[in-house]
Amino acid sequence: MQNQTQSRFSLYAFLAVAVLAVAAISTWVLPRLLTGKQGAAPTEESAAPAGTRTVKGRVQTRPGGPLEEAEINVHEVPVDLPSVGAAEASLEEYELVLGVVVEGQAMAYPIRYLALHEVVNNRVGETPLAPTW
Amino acid sequence: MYARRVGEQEVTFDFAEGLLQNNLLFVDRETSSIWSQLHGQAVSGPLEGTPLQVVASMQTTWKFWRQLHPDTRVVTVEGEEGRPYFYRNRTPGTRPPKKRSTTHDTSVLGLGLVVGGHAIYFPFRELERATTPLTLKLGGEQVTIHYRQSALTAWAEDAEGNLLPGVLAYEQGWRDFNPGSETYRAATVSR
Repeated sequence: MQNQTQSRFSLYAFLAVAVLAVAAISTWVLPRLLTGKQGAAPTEESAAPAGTRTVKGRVQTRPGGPLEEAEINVHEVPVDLPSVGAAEASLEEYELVLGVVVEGQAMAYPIRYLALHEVVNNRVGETPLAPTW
Repeated sequence: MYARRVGEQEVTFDFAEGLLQNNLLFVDRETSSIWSQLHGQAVSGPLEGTPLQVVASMQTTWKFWRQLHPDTRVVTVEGEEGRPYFYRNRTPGTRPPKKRSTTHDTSVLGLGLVVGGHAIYFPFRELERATTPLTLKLGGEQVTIHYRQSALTAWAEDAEGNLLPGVLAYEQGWRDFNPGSETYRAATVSR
């Protein structure tokens, strides 16, 4: 009887460890393996805005994927964004911005907006800029 | 940060759903050439090989940027609030919190720089241990590295105090594009 109990306990212990291992692999290990490496910060999925065309090229179609000939979607991003003075900006103190000084004018691009589109088109003075992130 | 010019011609970029070395691509509306963000040039299409004009920029907290430039303007995107991005680990080099977070981790962040063809990466954890500002010779030029832990930023200036184009990047991402890059190590003091 005692041997049977010991065997059953061992079986339950093994099953518990197996379940925990599967849970750990699916929630922790796999996402890290699949997201690959990014030079900047992680990209964020954004809904495709109106105005999408395609272009052909030899690219990766997913992080960590191989180079392949593919037709990829191109999403239009904003052009000539409006700006406000520092006092009118409703940003949090420690949120990230990308700052630039061009033609003597400082301009801040909140990462919260760059992350929506990855790149935007803007102008400071006469200089057309493309902040990316 | 790039100037949207090819010679004197202005170009307009859109976001492309493709990657090169796990990094972003964009496409110009004028020629549909594909451009690599970290390579800094067009990688296919009629403008293949054309370099992007780099403009020096700084990634930091809104608080610090406003201190440096009280007269700064701020870009807005009408109708979109976006989600503020933060660094969750404000002490580089320390273990980040175990709880999963959608904010970013500074423990493997650093400043990547290419000066005079010489690539070097300054991990924040090394800048924490170093005495900054740190002046050194890179690619034959004098460069001063600044670091502000409270603003989670580092930047480089030339001998005249002008901001140099550098990028805050995760180390592996920097190495993907600069495989021969040197890594800065703060000098250890023997006790």
